Amino acid sequence: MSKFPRTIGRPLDPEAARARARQISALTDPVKLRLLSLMAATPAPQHSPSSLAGVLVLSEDEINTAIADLSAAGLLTTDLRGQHQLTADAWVRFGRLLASSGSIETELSEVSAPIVPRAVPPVISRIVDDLSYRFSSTFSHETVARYVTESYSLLADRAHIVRFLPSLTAKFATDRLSALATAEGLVLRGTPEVLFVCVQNAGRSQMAAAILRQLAGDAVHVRTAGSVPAAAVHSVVVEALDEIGVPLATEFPKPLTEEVVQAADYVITMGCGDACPIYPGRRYMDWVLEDPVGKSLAEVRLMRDEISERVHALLAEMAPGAQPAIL
Amino acid sequence: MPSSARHDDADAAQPFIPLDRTAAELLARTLRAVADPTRLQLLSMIAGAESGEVTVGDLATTLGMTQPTITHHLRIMVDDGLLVRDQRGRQVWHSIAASRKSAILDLLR
Repeated sequence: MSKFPRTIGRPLDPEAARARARQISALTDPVKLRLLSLMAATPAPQHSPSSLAGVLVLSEDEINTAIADLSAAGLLTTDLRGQHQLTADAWVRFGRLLASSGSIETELSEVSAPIVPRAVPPVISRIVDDLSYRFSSTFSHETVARYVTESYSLLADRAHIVRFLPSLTAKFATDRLSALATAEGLVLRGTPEVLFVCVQNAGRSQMAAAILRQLAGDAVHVRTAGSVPAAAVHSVVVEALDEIGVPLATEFPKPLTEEVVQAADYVITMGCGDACPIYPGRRYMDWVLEDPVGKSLAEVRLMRDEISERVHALLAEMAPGAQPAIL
Repeated sequence: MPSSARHDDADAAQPFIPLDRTAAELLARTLRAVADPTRLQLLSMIAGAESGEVTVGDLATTLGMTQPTITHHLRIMVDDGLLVRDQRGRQVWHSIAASRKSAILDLLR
């Protein structure tokens, strides 16, 4: 089998696809599109139904109905002073479309423009700390930091009103991390793919992968990666696995790439501070485990047994009600 | 529209001009072509393809749908100019129109 057997993208999971379709449907009415566009172009305090009605040549009732529909679709929100403003979803998904300067036809040079990492204001670091604490059982601090910074860049590129960027960023990142933490709508097709990530890809992730391969055989595809791969798997790890009859002959440390994360259904970081890209429809877990580097065989045995227990639990979760070996 | 302005300072350079009636009607028509869960799933698979293009058969197998159903959905998006269709031998390949790619990636975020 090739390194990345999938040559096509992973489909959005059905629930995410339905939610997006609902949002897009709310904007298939030109009147609502113009309303949202107008609200995107002017600062919030100027959005009174009567002023909007005047510009769009509509009645105030029509404006109020449109605002209610857009709010129900999660595209508008009401702030503490009762002002309507665009949500983070609205900015990220539709922001560029709503400006007539950036119509649906974009110039070729912009197509592959990457998300440019920019200097983030101090308040964004504060958001990272808050969310790292909140999601500490699922995502490493580095993964949350990467995700929040990316969310901030997405919004900063689209929302031209900078005043609410920190709160929009916090809301956007929290909503999406919550959804991914509980993996709502995770649908496994065919053989589940599990990715174990640690720093060197020479100890923890190799032990977990070897044990899972032993237990599940062909029923699960297992991959491993490390953010700073070592030259070879630690010999003490090979020895500890050999003691329980788990082979590790052909494995070698490999770098962590976007593709391996994208191909995975389950992404398990091993509590060692790696930043994983975050994609919808995957289940993320963070297992807090010590690094076996410099540890004695006796200590590595204890780690091995703890990892083995966690792998058994993971397998039970992947195939609820089924015997692990026959998924 | 020069693209250099966009990545500078988001709040400074670029004036945000609201859509006029014609532009809104055009955009609404495109959004109607993608306001469907299956079509969004198809777009996500095409957008994530390593080579940028996929066959009808690949899409049908992955979603567990028939090829005629997939073809129906693809045609709606080809008609709107979102997708480009390319027949090579017996296989039909679909890719995302280059000018629509960034808009589609935004909708899938």
